Amino acid sequence: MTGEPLLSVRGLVKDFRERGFGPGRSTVRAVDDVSFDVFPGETLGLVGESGSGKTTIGRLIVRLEEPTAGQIELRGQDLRGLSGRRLLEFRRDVQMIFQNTQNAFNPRRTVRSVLSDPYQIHRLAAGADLDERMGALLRQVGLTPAMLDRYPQQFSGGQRQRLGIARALSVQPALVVADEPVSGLDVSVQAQVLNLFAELRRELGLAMLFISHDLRAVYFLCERIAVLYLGRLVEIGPRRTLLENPVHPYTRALIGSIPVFRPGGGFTRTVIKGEISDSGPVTAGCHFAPRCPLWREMGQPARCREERPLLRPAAGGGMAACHFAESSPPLAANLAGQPSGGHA
Amino acid sequence: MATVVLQVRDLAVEFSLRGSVARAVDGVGFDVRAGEIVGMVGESGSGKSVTMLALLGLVPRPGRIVAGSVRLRDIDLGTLSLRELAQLRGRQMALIPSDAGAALNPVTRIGAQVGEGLAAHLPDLPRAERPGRILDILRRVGLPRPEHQVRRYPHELSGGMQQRVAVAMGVQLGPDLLIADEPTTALDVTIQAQILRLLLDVREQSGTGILFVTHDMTTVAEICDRVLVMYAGQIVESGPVVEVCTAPAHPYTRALLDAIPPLGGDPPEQLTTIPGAPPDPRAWPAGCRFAERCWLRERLGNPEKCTSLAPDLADLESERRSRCHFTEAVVR
Repeated sequence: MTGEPLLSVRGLVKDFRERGFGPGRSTVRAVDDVSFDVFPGETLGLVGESGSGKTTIGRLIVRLEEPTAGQIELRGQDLRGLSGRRLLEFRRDVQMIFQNTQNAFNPRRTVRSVLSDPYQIHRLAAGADLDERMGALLRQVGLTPAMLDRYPQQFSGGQRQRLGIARALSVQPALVVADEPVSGLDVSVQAQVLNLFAELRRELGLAMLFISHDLRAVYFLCERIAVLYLGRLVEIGPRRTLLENPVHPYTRALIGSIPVFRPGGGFTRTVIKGEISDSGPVTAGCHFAPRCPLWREMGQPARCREERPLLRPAAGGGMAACHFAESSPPLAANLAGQPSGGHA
Repeated sequence: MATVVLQVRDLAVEFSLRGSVARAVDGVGFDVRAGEIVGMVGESGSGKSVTMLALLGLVPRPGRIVAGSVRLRDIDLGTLSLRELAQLRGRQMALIPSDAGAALNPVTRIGAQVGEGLAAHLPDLPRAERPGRILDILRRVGLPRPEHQVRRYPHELSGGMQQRVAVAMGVQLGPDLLIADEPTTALDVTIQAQILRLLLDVREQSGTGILFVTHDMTTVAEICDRVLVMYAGQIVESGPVVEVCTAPAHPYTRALLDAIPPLGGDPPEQLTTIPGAPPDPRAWPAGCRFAERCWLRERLGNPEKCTSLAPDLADLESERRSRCHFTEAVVR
């Protein structure tokens, strides 16, 4: 990547205190020293399982949460402490698309009422001009201006996600944070919404942080992919490198567990033992060590439990946080020669 | 060939709403044999969930079964009273729900919940033997430290562990048929793999027939022996999973497979999509129900037959069936 990053995240930390009162409550570190950049026009995929911190990172970036430590910069400007006019301007630049389209809209308000909010708040349009712009916006996301007087509940899940996209685009943001925007949609609808994202990105030069647990969707849309595990970034790199030559044992496990078609059938996933919650109390070392096949293979080196692995350059242009990344055996050609779609 | 544990014939379910009638399931028929995993795949509104509920005798009002038969081994479920059906459920056929977190009772400890099935269906089992049985089954589904888990409440378990408990409750009485309703949809991909492996183990150890209901073709390809593809209330294609997934015989199946984003290589500029939306169940179209959205019909120059004549689910070679007038043209 060249040029100045649009979004720059450095040493981001977010602690949540457990519910309850008084002293003795423990804190959970949901995001643990995470750094990455998003360049203009680029889509970065943020993948990880439940509890990996990916949603929290998205919420921190749009300032729905305040970070415990670290910096978030948009075009070189630190977002901490923004308020008033400056915060409003920032909100125009960075928009969010939510996962659950059922809850993302007020059911008592028509599409017209919902969509006119951003125009009014940012004083972008009013009167006949507003109507025209809302109509054009709906057409842009594959809906029709006639839908302005309907209620969100009268739309299908896919259509409601298009509305979510329209709402985010209304203020012409530079960056969109999309949190699981296609999960919960049927496959064919999911493909339509992913195509819409790809199209809008091409047409508008939009930069995007695309948060998802679905590696297939991420691979289609994102030039680079970042993998999170228990609040830490374990690997980041160009999509093909990450998929075809993953370096970090967790990335390898994650990719191995995606079901793939194999002519001849059979069970083709790698099953990794344990769950995130089995990792036990957070130690100074690598969070993945207790489940790590490489750690076991190498005779459980103490270093993995004692010293936090830092992100460092890996083969293929990516970065990985593993002390023994070079020792990973080559990945079985699990994903090579995937049949690709297209019947037309 | 293994015995048939579930035989469904010409099943139809209707919902009457404000004067209009929606036939959500329209003439569905299939078998599940012992030790076989049959995938039922379809998108929202395809009728897969209603079919599943009909098998369990749990179609909600105002829906009702208007035609067809469901036989579990040699029992015709249509002749049973509600009470008799209730005795059958959990014992001869069991459901694994999609969201175990929501299906488990939040105020009952895990051990007690698993024990409910034993108490209801095996009243003669001495009370003293129940705890041992409960631990056995939880151990069998791979729940770590079961003696510790039985005292916990559902919310104290992770999603994967909750799903293991749900599988335990489903298999504990050794049912002939297990109906798994999207059992892995709510789970992370690494945990999904664990639960699927567990279902394979259950099949191997007990020879249970499993109906695996899902919207996810890749999961079907992974663990099912045969697959039924549903669209607009009907089965549009069925057959051995490898054949259906590698050389689909119905345009809808082909489109469904092509809509899956490919992994590896340079991603395409656009994914293949299915235009439009499924038809309204209150007014199914006269001809083929997929015709409106069909890429093949368009390619063939919109033959009149597609919209005037409803295609039958025709037999092809090697146990395959397809509901298309132009099946030969689908296979490339």
